[in-house]
Amino acid sequence: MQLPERQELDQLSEEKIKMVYALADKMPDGQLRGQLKDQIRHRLKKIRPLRRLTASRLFCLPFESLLSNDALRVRTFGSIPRNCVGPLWSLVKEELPDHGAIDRIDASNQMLMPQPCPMMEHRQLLASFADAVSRIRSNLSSDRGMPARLAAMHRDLPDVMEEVHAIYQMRDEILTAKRQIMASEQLIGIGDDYARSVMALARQASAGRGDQRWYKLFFLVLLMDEDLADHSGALIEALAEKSARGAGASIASEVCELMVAREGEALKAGFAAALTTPADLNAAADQVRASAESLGVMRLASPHLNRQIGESIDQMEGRIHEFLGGQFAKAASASVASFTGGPGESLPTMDEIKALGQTILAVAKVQAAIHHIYDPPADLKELAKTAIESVGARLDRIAAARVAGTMRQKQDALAVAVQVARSIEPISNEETVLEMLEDCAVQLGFAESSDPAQFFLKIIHAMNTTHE
Amino acid sequence: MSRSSPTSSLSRGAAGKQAEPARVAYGGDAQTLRLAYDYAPSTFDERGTTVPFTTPELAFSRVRRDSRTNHLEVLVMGFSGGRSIYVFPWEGLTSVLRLTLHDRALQAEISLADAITPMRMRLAAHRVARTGLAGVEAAAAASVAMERIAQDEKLTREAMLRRIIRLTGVLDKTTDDLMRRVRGRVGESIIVQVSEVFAKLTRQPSDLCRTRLLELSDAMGPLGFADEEDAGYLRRTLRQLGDLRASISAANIGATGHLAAETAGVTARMAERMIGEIDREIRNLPAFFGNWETNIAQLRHAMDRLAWLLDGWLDVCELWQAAMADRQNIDHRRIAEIMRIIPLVPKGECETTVRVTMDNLSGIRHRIVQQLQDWRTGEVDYEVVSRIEAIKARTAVL
Repeated sequence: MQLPERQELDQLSEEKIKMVYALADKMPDGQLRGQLKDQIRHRLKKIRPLRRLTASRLFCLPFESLLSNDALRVRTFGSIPRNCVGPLWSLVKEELPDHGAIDRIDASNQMLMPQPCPMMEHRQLLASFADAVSRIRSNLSSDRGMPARLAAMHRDLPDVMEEVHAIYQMRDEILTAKRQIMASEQLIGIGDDYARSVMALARQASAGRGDQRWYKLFFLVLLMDEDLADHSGALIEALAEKSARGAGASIASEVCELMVAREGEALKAGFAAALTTPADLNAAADQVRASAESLGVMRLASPHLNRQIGESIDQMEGRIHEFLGGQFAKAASASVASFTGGPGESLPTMDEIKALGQTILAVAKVQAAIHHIYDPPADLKELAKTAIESVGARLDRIAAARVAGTMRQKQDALAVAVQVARSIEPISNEETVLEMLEDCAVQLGFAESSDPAQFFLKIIHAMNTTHE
Repeated sequence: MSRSSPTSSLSRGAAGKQAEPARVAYGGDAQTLRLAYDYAPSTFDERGTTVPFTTPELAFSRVRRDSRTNHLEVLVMGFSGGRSIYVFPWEGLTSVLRLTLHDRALQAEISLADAITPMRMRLAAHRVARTGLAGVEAAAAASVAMERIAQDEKLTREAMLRRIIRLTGVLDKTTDDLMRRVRGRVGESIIVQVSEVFAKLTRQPSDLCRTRLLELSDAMGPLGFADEEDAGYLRRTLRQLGDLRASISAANIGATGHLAAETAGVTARMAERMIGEIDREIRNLPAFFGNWETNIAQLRHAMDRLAWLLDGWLDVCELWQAAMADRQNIDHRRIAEIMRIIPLVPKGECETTVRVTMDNLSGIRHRIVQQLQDWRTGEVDYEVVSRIEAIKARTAVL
């Protein structure tokens, strides 16, 4: 069976992707199923379709945010390769005394609810999973041959088992922390003090373990959770302050280092994607913005972190700069050129204007994302400048061709000019975009005024005239 | 610029610093939740009219007239990410913020049309949206909305004529036949005929009676008559508000939802009562015409109050629908946004039996206000602008 190409899948609407995902979920061949899901995983992250509840998904729930698709790299602490889940789950199943409950879950045809508050039945299952993981982990330390046997199943399995065990042991505190963070958004009770409360929960969960890895894992699970992304700044800050006060090994540094590495992987994947449509440009811009924000948060905490973190952040930001000045600027220029290079006198279609608007929005997004880091790359700056000029030139040509036209033709041209001016607004200053619109309107004989308010009133009158 | 309560005294007195909340507790009956609200406006005038700006920092802000200086001012909630309501001078808005093209046009139109009541604002907003400055969808929606307003006016006039025809038995035709004629080309001549007979009934000059009939139908346009199907923008808004309340209650999203549903419920109850009173007043047309000057003034005042009361709720309905688009994954940011903009019933406008839970609501609002401007660049967030434009397009078509 031949799977569709990623490019084809990228063209699909969100609704279609949800359908593809639902179908993929029913594919009997596990390998093909995995391949197809990998092709659309970058979109699933954004769309987040409902997933069918299965026992294995329920098992992964506590450490889901740590799952990583990258199986080639040497595994870093707190990163659980997705292809490790299969062998891990089969080991756990062997340890479960009763398969009735998991069979019922698999046959239930329910959907997996994303709330951080599992149902009672699921809590019981999670407890039995925790026991099973605990037993495997105990065997791992007592049975000398077991690490090798696990490594034969997956090279990272012994280490992953340790981390999954730790997370399972801390799952109640992690869930409580997650609930508190989310509640702070919903304004119930916890408010702005959640960071302090989460710190206390982390200490409670990892107390007496004699191992800082538990503490780090606690934060990694939360910081990697996309639902909590808006709160990572406050958490890192709290963690960094605590580490600084402790003056010991900086846990915050290690956690941030892992997060920077994760951002690097995400960027690598994002930079490798084709930039053929305005939607691609926006996806790339979103990725850049998310990474820049994440790195920015860590940079704020960097005075409390190791110097190495600052260097890693510099490197990442350098790569972003390079990408924006290269591939991104080139693709955006091509997209703008396809608009400005259109036949001079004819009116652009709404689709063409929409494409221009999306491209400009992507450029504006990245400009805003990197504004606090460095000057935009020269090519990107040049693109913004030439885009405004060339779009203005096309509007002039359109207006000039209709100077002697009918009122209807002039109104249509003005309507287009308004839409084009709106498209360019995100990268233009007010005066420039207003001038562009006014030049066009004046050529069409609608308005001339030194006062912007009067100009707008004339435009409003012109566009409402036929209806009055 | 001042940063304070929307009440006039505070807005001037606390310029440049944040006033301490002055909590006032109100007693109420068992069914009524206890209320006290911080910075709550006393009247609709003080609360201001929602301006459909698309600049994110100004979205859902309100405009009102400063009674001392007679100048317009804008009330912006949570502008700084703090807890205050900021009061900006209308004319100086562009020196404080970068506005979208649409908002600059809207500002000019509002100034020209003095559109500081909800009904005038609605017209001004549609006229500006029709330029396309808020996007093609908003432009199309505004055109549909303007047509709907014209259609509402026509339907109300016809409905009123039918009432008078029934009342006077004036024409030598069956009622059904007359109904058809009222809708036809002879409508104008029927108005003349009807007003002549009705003038005799009310003992008023027929020209005056005719003018008043048209004035009354104009005044009733936004509400329509009770027994007319799908009549009036305000009745439709009230229906949406009822649906919103039911939907929020059913969603069971906790304390925030509870407060939002309560506020919607109290507003809906007040609106129902006000509409009931208008419907009762208008039922006896000869009596209404008998004391015309007083009654028409009261009707216009009641209609204005009703429009003020329901002002801003369509935006809340839209935000709610957007927040609940995926029920498995409720968008809590939009819920928070709802709490930021939810139209509180001003203290002085509350009926004595209705005191809404504004204390908690106010406290919650203080905590949820968020900065909307890109905090690093101070640039307009055009993605948020697009979202606001989409809301604008959807709310226009009611």
